[in-house]
Amino acid sequence: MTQSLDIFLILSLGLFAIGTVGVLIRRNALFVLMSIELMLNGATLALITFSRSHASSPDAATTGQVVVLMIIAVAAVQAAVGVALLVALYRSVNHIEIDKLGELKG
Amino acid sequence: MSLHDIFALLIGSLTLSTAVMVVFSRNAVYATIYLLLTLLGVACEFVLLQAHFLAIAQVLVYAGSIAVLMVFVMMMVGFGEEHLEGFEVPGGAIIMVFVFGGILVAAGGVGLVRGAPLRVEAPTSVTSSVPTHQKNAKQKKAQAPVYGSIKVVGKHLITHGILAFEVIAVMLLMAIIGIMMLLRERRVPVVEDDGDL
Repeated sequence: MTQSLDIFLILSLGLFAIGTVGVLIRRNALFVLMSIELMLNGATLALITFSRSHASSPDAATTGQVVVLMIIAVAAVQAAVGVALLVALYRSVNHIEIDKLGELKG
Repeated sequence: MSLHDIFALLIGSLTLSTAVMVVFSRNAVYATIYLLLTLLGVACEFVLLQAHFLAIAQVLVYAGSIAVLMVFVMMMVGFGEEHLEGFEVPGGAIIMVFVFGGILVAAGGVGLVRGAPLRVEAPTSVTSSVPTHQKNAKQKKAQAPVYGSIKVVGKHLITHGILAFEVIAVMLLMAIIGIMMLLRERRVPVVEDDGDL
């Protein structure tokens, strides 16, 4: 009995696409952060799927899982730093609407 | 279509719909709940892909800490009713969505149509009912290290990936220190005002 892996690839594609849409259309920085998390999840799901497809050679397959573990750690750091930036931003300008932030415009 | 496929389809469609809700819900609290559901759904898919250790890590790190972090920020930033914004979509974003979405869908479609379907052998029953001590040595030897188990992944992590492991440890420390520097209260030094300047 075989297990199809295409379903997981489609799911990862969908997650990445939805995350991209969220990053592009939301103005609230918190939603942008959440959408980035969605994109990261799509990428990790694709990595694990391809790792699973090479399960016959365990060494190569495990590398994919280790990379995903590191991505999870980096994603946690990214979320924490992003959220800290949001709080700092809110303290200085009292909102987190990214469209209204134009201080760096020349 | 095996049982694995059916479960993958069910959980996958659930995950996709909650992901859509993350992006399009107006209330940030609801969006966080949907994000939590999405992350748990992805963890379920990890289990279906035999990546048990990563599923645990996903639940611990994402569902356990990142979702809580988001809720905390909502408390600090104070999401009152006035922050429930709609989204007026700028025209450039629509073009970007169509371009990127078109590229993604085209790539995925071409891959799915032209490429051979990815299939692997579904795992048979995970545990046998025979107690361990009754198995003979031959059967024990046949039990190769299981793909995706904590033992295999951990061993690989501290042998082949040891450099990245250490770098990530340093990066975590840097992140902690950076966040503390970023968010500490800057106390304005109290100027003694003795009135006769």
